[in-house]
Amino acid sequence: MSKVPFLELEKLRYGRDRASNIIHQLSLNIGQQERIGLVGESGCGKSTLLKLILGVIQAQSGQIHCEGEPIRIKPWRPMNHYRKLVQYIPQDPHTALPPQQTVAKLLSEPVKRLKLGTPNTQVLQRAIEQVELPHAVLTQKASELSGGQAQRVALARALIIKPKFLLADEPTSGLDLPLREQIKGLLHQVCSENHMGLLVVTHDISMVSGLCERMLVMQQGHIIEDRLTEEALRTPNNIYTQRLLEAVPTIHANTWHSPS
Amino acid sequence: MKIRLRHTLSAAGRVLDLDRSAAFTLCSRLLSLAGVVVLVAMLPWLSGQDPALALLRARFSEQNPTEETLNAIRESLGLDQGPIVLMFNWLKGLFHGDAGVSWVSGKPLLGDMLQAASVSLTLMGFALGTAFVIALLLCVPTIRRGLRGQAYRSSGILAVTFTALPEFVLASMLLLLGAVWLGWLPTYGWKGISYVVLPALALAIPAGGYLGRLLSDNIAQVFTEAWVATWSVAGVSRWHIVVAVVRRALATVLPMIGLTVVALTGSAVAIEKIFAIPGIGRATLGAAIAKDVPALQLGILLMLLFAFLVGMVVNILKTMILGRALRQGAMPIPKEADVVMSKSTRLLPLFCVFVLLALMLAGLPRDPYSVEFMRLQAPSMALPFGADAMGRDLLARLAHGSLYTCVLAILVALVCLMIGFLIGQFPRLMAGPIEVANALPPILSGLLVAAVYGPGLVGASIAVIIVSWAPLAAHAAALTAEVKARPYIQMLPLIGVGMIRRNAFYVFPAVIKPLLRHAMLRVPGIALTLASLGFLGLGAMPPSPEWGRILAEGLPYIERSYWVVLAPVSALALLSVLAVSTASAFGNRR
Repeated sequence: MSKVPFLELEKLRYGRDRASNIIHQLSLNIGQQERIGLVGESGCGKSTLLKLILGVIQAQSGQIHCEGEPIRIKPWRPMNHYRKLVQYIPQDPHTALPPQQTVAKLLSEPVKRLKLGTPNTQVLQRAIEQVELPHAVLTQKASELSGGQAQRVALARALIIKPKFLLADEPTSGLDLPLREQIKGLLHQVCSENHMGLLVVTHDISMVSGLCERMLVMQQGHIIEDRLTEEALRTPNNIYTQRLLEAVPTIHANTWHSPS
Repeated sequence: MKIRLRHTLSAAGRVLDLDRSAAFTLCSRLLSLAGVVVLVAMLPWLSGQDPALALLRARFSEQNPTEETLNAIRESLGLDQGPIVLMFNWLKGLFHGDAGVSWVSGKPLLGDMLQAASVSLTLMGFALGTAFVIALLLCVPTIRRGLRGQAYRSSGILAVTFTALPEFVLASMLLLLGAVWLGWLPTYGWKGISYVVLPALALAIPAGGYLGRLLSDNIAQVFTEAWVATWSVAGVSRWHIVVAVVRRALATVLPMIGLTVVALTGSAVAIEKIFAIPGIGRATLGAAIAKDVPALQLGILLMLLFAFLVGMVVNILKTMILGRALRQGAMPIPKEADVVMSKSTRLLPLFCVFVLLALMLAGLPRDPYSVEFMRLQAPSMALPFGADAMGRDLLARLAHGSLYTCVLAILVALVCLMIGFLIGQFPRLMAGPIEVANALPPILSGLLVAAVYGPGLVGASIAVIIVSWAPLAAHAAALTAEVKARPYIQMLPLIGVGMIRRNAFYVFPAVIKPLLRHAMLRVPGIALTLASLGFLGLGAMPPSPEWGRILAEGLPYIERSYWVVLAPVSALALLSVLAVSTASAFGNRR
């Protein structure tokens, strides 16, 4: 971790109207190449926080700094510099990729829009190799991909921008267990290879323990726990973290009894 | 205490917010209404023609048209003062009970027009009464089954088609059947109670059938709601349940009733023309064709006034029936009745297209313009549909007519699609225009356009576009809102896609396909509307073989040779079957 944090969130507040707060005066520092897991109950504001950081919604008050510089967030205004630094992979890749576009087209779109060079075959093939997919995928339409393939393509679209930080919104929730392990491994690999930071929202505690050195727990718009993953899992400070740990499925061959 | 205060404040905020959007819609409505009135008031200027010469000829046939006399006439009409002054003078005159003089006869207009309006109101009264009886009769079986706990939905495609026939086609059929073949009732005129029967029926059957079906479907739906079962278990009398159910269903259908009554004013124009009834519709139509602009202005204004009053009455009735529920915005949106079709009826549109194609194949090689046969020659093997009053081949005329009615209808539908898409991007701003366009009968817009532009194919197309873009715009607005809410669209800024690129390359392609299907579904209906304008003499000019035109040319000879009416009426009926069956067979997929 270097001295200037990569991202600084300062007293962010977001709500539908004045009375309700989805995010309460939230402040958070994220270091360079730091890998963070964010857990919390459904509806506690995790996804909203993610969208605030991504700049697709605007906080009512507060400020975001990136590498020490303030970021003026205006949805639908070009903020290409920030876009090149912070990217995202979605919860449900099928609804998050334009269904009628081919993989080649949707991979070259950010390259052209953010002026990262020319999206020639070489660039596209490298991007698709990086997520361990065959070149043939490039000619397929997004709607024809399987869940695991689509998530890899979404990851490839984020990586082709070469961001310094990746946000992931429950990236494995729609996939079956072996695929989850694969995607988890892939995330680990690309983060290390590209020296990239990661903030992953998840319900899967094994994802946090396997990927992230730091763990945040959110409840009703507040961060109620912010510690190193190892410590937090060993001595949970609050009930939610405890429950989350208890809910981890462990398989015992002899626990099942027939009702009779 | 603090919390309660905060709750009250936020509730008030919500009410205010609601009121603001309601005020927005009201503003948009008033503005569009004012826009229409201004348009009507400016007609003499907009029509861009110099009435001085026509007036001189009409009034003093012996006088020579010198520049001085013409100028004197222009001055007396105030035509030299420009549009704004003209408009205010006209409106001021109206407040003093002076609606100007006819450019054709030079007589004051107001008395004659009010006389004509009273005739029309009488006809309308009879028609509405009959329509409501028909609607209620259609609901009786639904209510009886509902009380026995069965859900009943009307589904007869034939009944639906019958109610979807345009009034001018139905009127021609009734005239043929009731007056010519059976000879029970008089054909033309306005001399006694027996003269009202056919025109009132022609107006009432489509309107009553449509409303009856709508109401009946809604009643069936209300009977499935949970409270009906609760009430009957609790021992509430059947009569009370029926009243409550009908009231609940009626509230949902009321806006459609309003629209139907307003649409009747347009249909009445055609009916009055067919049965030669001296009503306001016929007077206005005559004025439009004769380019007697002041008479046209007054006629259109009176019809708009009627439509506006109907709208007010419907709103008052709605508030009376619904009361609180309406203010809280808790009511469901009225649903268009949809037709449940069996598999075999899905073939109906294909069958219609097949017959139309056969008609074209048989008729296109023949000549629609040359006079080769005897006047009104009866049908024979060589001349399957007979000859018209000038001795032209009816089969050839119908076939050529179908070709360019279809092409024109498709063009009109595409223009409507474009306008609908553009306007659908700003749904709140356009609430008023959408409402006006929805409520404006095509015949009224046809009259307006004919006054400005002169009757003709282009004018008729513009008139149809003016009233046909609204449903497409509403659909486009709903689709666009849905597409913009999709995750992949919302996340587009992340990959550097801006607003314009989003709309052009992501939203438009996703929206255009269902919209295109919707527009194509409307083609047969648009063709019918074009035909109705042609029928009134506001569309295609002679000698072009447009279907409505052919029917109108045949009507005077209906008593001597029925085939001049039978052929175009059958063709138009086929078109309405196509319109209804395509809409219900393919409409649900969108």
